[in-house]
Amino acid sequence: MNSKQTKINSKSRILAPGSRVINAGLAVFEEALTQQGVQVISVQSKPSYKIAPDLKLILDDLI
Amino acid sequence: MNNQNDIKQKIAEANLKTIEIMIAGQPTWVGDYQAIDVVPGMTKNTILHAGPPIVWEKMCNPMRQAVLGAVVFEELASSLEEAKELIDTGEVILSPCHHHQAVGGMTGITSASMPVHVVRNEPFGTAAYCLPHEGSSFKALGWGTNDDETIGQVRWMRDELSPVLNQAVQAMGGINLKEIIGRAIQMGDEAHSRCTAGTLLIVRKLAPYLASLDIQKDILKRVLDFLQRTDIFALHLFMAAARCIIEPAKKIPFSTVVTTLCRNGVEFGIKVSALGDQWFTGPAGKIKTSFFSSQWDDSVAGKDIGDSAIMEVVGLGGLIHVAAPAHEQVLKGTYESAIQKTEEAYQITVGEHKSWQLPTLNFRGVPLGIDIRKVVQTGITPLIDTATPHINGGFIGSGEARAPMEAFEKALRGFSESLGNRM
Repeated sequence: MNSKQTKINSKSRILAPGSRVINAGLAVFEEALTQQGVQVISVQSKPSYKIAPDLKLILDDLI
Repeated sequence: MNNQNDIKQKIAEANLKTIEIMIAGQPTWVGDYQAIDVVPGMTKNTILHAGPPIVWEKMCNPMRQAVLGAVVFEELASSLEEAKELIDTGEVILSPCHHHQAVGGMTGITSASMPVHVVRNEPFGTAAYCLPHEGSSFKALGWGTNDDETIGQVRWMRDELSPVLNQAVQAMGGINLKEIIGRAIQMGDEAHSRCTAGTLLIVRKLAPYLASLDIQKDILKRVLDFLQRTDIFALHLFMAAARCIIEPAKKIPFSTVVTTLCRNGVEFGIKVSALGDQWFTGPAGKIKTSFFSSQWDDSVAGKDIGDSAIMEVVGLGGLIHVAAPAHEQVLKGTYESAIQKTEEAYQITVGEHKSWQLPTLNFRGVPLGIDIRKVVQTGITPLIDTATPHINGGFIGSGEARAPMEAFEKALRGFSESLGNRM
């Protein structure tokens, strides 16, 4: 990770345009960063995904 | 409780069996022929398309344009306007490539007299078909253009390129694509959006046989020139290889392994081994694109499209960005992000390939066998490498898109219902 690259976490507050960010979590967050000129390298939808109750029951049986 | 454990055990065994069948596949390129002569169910007025089934009215614009171009190419109509009339009167049959043991890049449009690569998986007696890549230009039926230049290129492929390739491949007794893929992913390819090494390996094998053919020098020069300009030539061979690898892995009772991923520009379709040929769909994704020119942006970008996601089904492409750091850079990523994406893929797959290994992960096998249970459990959907079409046709960028969770949720519910029928 170079000096212009950072991992997003709860302590991140200010990112300069041109910064490169990995591990951004939410699509809306990514969009806001992109609009500010911050390059988002990787986005994973996992944190925002909620399993539907019926699917959770199915998974309990199958995995 | 015993019954639940019994089901879990059966799924685990079925899933391992599924990936073992995939690993045991031996896809071999055996020649190029016209589709009407080899593709099951092909007729003179059938046009195959990429992705799950879709009717004309719902097709995206690039796919419609390519269908019209194919009708003209087949001389079923003398103009695009006449071609549209044939569509309206139902005289043209539209059918997914996947229903004909075929796969097609981007729009996937394939018609009767178009040439197709033929790849056979001899140990299992299966075969698959794919139109050769049309070249790395802006225009192609695959990208949804249909002007004279586009159609002329497919004619040249039918009349000159494929007959020459067929002679060479026949003379050498076929090319083992499993071996080529295994080497290519150790040389910087992820075997989907980046196939530079794979193409070089294939051309190297073909070269002495091409040189030995009794053909005019200017024909040989045009064929070699096309091959040297088309970095991604190997992709459509790899797609046919993947398609015939997964065929015997279908319909294994209790298997929750994905056997098809594809998109038609409107919907993303998946199939699951235990559920045979049943489609489960969700919306085609927006492509995160690196555009080739600043004249293009998301406002003119089409949605995710093509059967090439069959590469992710067999553990390649978006599942192994770590194999292709140069491609990750094209996508504005880093080596770290490539590792991260590949590590995610291991979380949603059943096991690892024994022959296709990743040097930069200490020769770990590629993640193999996407498990619908793990996708829903983790919230991680497969990352698909893809190219971006212009909404009016044309090739404008390279990118990546996530498969839609909706398709996996539907598949998991469908799988659960199928168990209810068994119990």
